[in-house]
Amino acid sequence: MIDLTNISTHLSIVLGLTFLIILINLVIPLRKLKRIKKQVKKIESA
Amino acid sequence: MNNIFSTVKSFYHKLGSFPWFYKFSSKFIPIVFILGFPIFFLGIIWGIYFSPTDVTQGEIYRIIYLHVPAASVAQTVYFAMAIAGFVYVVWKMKMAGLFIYAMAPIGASFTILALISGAIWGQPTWGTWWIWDARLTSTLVLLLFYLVIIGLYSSFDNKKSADQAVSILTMVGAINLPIIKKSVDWWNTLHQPATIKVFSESSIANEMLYPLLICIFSFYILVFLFGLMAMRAEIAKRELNKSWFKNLVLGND
Amino acid sequence: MNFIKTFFSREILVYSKKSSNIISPIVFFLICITFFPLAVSNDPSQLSRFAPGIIWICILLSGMLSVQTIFKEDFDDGSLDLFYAKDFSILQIVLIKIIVNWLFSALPLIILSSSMVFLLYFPISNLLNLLSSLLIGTIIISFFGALAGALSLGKNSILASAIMLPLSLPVLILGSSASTYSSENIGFFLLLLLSLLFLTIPIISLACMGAIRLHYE
Repeated sequence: MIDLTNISTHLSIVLGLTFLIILINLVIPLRKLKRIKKQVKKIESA
Repeated sequence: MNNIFSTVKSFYHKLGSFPWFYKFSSKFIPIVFILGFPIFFLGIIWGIYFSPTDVTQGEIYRIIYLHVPAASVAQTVYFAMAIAGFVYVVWKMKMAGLFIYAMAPIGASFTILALISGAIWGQPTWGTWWIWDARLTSTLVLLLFYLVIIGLYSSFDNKKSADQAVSILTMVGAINLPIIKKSVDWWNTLHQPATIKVFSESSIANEMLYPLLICIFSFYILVFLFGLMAMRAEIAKRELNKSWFKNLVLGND
Repeated sequence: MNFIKTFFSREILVYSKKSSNIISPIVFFLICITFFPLAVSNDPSQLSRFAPGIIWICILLSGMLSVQTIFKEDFDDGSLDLFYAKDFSILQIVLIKIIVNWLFSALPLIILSSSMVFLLYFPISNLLNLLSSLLIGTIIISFFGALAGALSLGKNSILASAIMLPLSLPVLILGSSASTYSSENIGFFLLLLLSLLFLTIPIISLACMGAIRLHYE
């Protein structure tokens, strides 16, 4: 077990980047799908 | 024996069908999500908090728990794309072509992660952000190949031609990448015979190895998850006007 | 055999009509070479050290510009459609086009790079190595450029260059290394480059055929 105050800024930057990439890869397909579903509904209601 | 063959064959046919994949993935994705993220957090937390401190490098070595899985995933995704390219060119399986387009951004983002985490690790440990050795150079070229694939796909209007072009390029790149790695390696041995292999990894202790393996495994699951989601979204985009998709979307309201 | 001869003479005719097809690669190559002494350093010892790399880079860039357009004209005016529809052998067409393009754009440059002995103080002992590595390397680069041109037919973008250049990295590395050594080690380097050539020709020819076909399906 390490001392939490010892975690360097380097490690936290990399950790943050990892979470950012995971987030991007989760969010973008979801938004794309949502946009397409909305488009389908718009076409049908028109 | 016949039964096994027929089930495999029917699975292969289902796999090639967009509606089946879309419906299957909508049920399967939550399962993978619930499986993947706990393992991911388990690996990360074990590696970062609980594993012992390295003798030579101190705490900074813990970047390995993110860097190595990212690099491993980046290469495997490209290899999978190359196989999918082969499947598309030979058997014209539409799902294979879509696979390449869906996985390319995922592979590219993890290659970026591997490169940046490697540089951040390298700076305090070996004193340099970058070195033109075989591994880093070929990873950089891997990123370039990913970006070129995405660019080439976007330059086509017709999705079928786009799939075909991208399949060809991915396959050619798959052959070219090991050649690049070997030639840079060879070039380095010619020109810098005295350089210590800067990023060589010494044998790793067991207490550090186990969380590393878990992290690698969790990255693969996460990438599988992202792949499912990306393929689902791309299927939706391509099948926008098909009746099965419209019924699915509108029938749910 | 008749088709090969006819098509070969056709391509040579097309290329020799425009003098820009020979002049442009030469001018571009010389200008690129000139950049280095002007922008980096004109110290003879430094130039002599970097000369192999500089020559190879300029050859690669010049090839990048000249080889990507080998299918463009025929595609644009519809001749490629005709060839495809009439079931001509796309493989033969691709190979002949690459050879003729190489004759007009790469071969003059290879001959011209022997003048680098004077311009870049290239050590004359390595000249044979340079020329032979260029001979093989430019053919490989032409194949990659043809693939890049075939994939990006009809698109006006820098995409073809982006495809071709990463693929040509091994050739650059091997060729540049070969040129930095004197002619004693020539056999070793030539073997490496030749193996790359023999690997490239079948795979990239197939890929070019597939790439041209995809525009017609």
